[in-house]
Amino acid sequence: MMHGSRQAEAVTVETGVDDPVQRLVRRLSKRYAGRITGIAVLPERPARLLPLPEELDPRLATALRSRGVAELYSHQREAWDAVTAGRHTVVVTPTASGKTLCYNLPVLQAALKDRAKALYLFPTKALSQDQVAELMELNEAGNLGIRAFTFDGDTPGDARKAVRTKGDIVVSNPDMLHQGVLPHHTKWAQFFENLRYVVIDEMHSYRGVFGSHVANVIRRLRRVCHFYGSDPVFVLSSATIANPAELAEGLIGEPVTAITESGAPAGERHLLLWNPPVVNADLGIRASARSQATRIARMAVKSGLKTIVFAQSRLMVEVLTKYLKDVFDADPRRPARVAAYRGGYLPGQRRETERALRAGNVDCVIATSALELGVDIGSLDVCVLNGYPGTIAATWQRLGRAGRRQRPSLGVLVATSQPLDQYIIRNPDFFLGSSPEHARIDPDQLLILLDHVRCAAFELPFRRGDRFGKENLEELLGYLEEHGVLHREADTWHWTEDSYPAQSVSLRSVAEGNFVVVDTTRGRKEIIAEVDYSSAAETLYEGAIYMVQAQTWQVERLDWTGRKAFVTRTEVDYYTDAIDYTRLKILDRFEHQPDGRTETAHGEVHLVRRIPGYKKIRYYSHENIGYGNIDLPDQEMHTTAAWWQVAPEVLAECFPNRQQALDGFLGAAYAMHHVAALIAMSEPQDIGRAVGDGDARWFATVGADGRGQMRSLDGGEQDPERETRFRPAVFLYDNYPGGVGLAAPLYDQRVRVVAGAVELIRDCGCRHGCPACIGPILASDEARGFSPKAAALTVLAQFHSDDAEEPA
Amino acid sequence: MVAEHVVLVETLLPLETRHGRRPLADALEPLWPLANVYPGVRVLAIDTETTGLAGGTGTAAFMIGIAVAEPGGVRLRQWVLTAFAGEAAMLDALASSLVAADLMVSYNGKTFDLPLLRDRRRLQRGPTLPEPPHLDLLYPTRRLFRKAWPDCRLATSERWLLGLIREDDLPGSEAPRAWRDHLAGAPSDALAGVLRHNALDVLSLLALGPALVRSLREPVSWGADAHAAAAIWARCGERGRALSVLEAARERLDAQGALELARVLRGAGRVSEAAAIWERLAGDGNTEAAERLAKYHEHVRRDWTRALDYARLLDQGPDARHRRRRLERRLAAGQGRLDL
Repeated sequence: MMHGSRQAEAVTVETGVDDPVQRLVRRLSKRYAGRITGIAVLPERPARLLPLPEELDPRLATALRSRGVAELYSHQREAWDAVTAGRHTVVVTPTASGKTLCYNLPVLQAALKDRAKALYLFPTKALSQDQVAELMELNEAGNLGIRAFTFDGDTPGDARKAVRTKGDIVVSNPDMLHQGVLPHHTKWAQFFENLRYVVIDEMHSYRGVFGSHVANVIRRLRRVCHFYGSDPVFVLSSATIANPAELAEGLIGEPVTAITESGAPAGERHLLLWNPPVVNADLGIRASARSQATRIARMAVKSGLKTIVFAQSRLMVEVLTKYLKDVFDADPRRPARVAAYRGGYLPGQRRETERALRAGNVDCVIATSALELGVDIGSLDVCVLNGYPGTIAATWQRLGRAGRRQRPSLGVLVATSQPLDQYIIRNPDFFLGSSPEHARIDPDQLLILLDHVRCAAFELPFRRGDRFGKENLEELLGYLEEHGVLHREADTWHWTEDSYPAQSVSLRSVAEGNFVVVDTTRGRKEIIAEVDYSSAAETLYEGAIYMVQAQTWQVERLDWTGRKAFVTRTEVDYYTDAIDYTRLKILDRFEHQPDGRTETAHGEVHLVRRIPGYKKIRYYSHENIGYGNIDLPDQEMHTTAAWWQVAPEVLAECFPNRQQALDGFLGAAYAMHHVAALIAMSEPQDIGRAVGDGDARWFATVGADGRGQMRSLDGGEQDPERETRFRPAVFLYDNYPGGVGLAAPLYDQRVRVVAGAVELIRDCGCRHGCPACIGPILASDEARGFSPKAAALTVLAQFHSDDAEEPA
Repeated sequence: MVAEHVVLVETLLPLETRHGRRPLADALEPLWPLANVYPGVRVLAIDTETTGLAGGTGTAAFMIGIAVAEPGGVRLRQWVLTAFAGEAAMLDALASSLVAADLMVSYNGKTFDLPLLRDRRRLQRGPTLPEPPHLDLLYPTRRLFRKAWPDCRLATSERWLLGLIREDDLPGSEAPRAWRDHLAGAPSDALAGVLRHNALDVLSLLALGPALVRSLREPVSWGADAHAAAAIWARCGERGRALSVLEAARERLDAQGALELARVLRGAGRVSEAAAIWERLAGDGNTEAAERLAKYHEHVRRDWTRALDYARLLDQGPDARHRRRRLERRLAAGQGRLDL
């Protein structure tokens, strides 16, 4: 964001008693006092300004002044000083604080003075388009003559040469650098020889698996730069996380200066934590978050406030959009006031929504995390989170979408009945008092590292004594040599395989290509959306209702190998939700704690995921109105897991029958999964859970009646009493092929995982169990003659016993 | 052995040696109109064998074959790496041969072999390779035979243009493995097979240029696309040759070819012959021919009635509408000569 618009805003806006946001906050707190569990007000923050650097090229200074920038915010000036002194720098600042100037200034200065080149990396294409547009505005304002080109999958073949040789600034993404640039670095020789700066925007998105890959791509980039005699300075920018300098250093492998104090002004910010009211005290059932989020959004829009609602899933975006469109877009002749924004929409659609938002033509947008990143949509007044986003950092990032420079804004976090949400909402101090999470990467994870050693060896031969990562490189090279990938000659390893290794390595864990959704209504053949591989199975099965902007299509045919789903327009009063079966087989135990009665361990497992069917769920009432079968290939992976297993004799002592034990395991797994996500400081979907025997003979799921079911390999239901080898276990697994190191810490923290789950269940206000502790139970369970909640606690007590006996 | 880890295999083949149906002496024939050559020019054919087909800096050439036709015979040179360490020396040797050549002939060399050699040279930090003018035979071959042949691979060209059928040839796709096995210490039989394969490739390149020129002269008898052949001649300024090629193929031309023939005939002043072709095509519903006829009758014959007949066959575009209106006005104004 340039601060050209600053004065304009200051003229039109006056903070006063009659501010509509403050009025809304007062109304909500008065009417719904019982639902608000926490309130915070972040005071207005004035701007801290510093003069433009003296050494700034006069052309650049003129361009800035013509855009209304006569001084820099303190963080922009600090960034200039650090970067121009040749120090790798990370800038951590909130949304709309002018972070792009932190890297654009030194880059433009170097391009003007020395014709030095810069590489900009953005995690998504949409972002790169925004940032290039802004760069070019500055360029035109000062008539600087700097050439910035985008180089990505959409760059036409005949334009590529010009980008390589003529671009002062090349804008790309890590995937393109990995597959399209580094393996062809000789064509980019001129660019690399003059490369002075590498800009990595939205650094916080490079965490986990993706971040571990990107760190390796940067190792390769620096290796290639050294070959051409350059050693670029890295400038990174990030949303707030606990460890920006640590992450930056992990990504680029060098010490990094962190600039964390923003000098940009900010208006007063209100934050409400909101728990939906209890509607059935016995079952601990609360009103749905979506009903509350819809209500708050409705009130905000009616007060004339620009509002954004964040939902956790694409499906929920569509459901909320429908509800809000039913209110505000009932008249189809008027332009839409409500829009949806999520992954899977076509780029053109998304650009259009972004433009409408910037222009203020849309009053309410419902989005997934696709909008969390720095996509420029202008500033909004109110942000409603439908559910806890899973991490404190992501919560603040989304809340940051609301907030203009000199005007109050409001964020509301509405809890769902998920355990994590309930924990956060009942302990407001936990959320308001904790620092955001650490972003972790493990660039030396063996599978990831090996992938990139292969790519690097293809790009330049390795020599004895070279380093790449922290592992013993020579051992890895020896392994590749044994497999005929490399050939060693004296002290040099040469690539000899007939392949292009970057092709088979995807930086994002979904490697298998997107599915396109094709509308075939009345003989049409139009692509209306894209779905990534990992979610295709659960959203595009035949019979699924697929939604775009709250319009519904039914999937008629899914071509799994061709990656296409054929849909037709339909009007229905329900949506569909897939059922998911997961079974696991233990392959290897790395460490374990056996005591004859229970075993806690971590190791390698083989996992098969099957989606056998789906439920039809009616709008508004959310009742289940039918089932359908799905016939799709199983998805398999090897990964690491931590597990807790109990011997049959022990279970026989504790439970009158195996059905109760099964229900206990399912409840315990549910609670442990959520506690584990908190302890591992990861997103809940990074960890998977399963209950089974660890031998892939059987696994357990919650059936339609809310009770545990034991199923065999083919999904058929079995009687637990007749199973000869009844040794159930709770598995928490690393939801990434090969594992990214989440299972070992869970094993190390096994006492905390179990103790946390016990606490969560014991302290929950419900009687027999609820979605906030052991998962949803149905009304009929009242009659089942035992408390599923007690059963879960009994199981957890067994898990606890082994470590309790350990000497401290 | 030219340097450590590089073996040079050099052969002088007498001009009467047969390559397919023809003697190698053919290689001395001129390449016009494929390339602008003058007497005494040194044409160098080049082909590489590589560690893979994927491209990128990790793909290397382990064998380079070049051939030059001289009055005393065809000189064939093949460099083979026995280890990666010899690569720089091999590229140096190639560079000195390229300096002496006036024209380089390859098959897909513009997109594959030369970029690859350039990249490897860069990896060796060697000076830029000298590159004489480059005739990549794949492009004219595709233009002339795309419609006639199932594919335009080198082996297909050899079969149809040179009558060469390879026996016991090691398929090119096996070459990377042969070299990898050699590096791993396997006996070099397979590598000898790659050498023979590469020699045949390079000799074919020398012979193919003149063979393509023959097919350009008589496209009908070689099964080449006469329309494409005429276009190549026309581009080199040989209009008469373009016309004779098309006329010879008159009976076999498709609509596009016939339109081209009519265009060239009109250019040569033989307008009524051109009109005859257009009439035949317009009768088959060809609108481009109808448009030519509308123009012909309006501007040359000044027969507005017939011009309008043809104009009515045209589509609804603004140009056609405008033409029809003008003709209707002219007809309405009687026989007078309107000067618009």
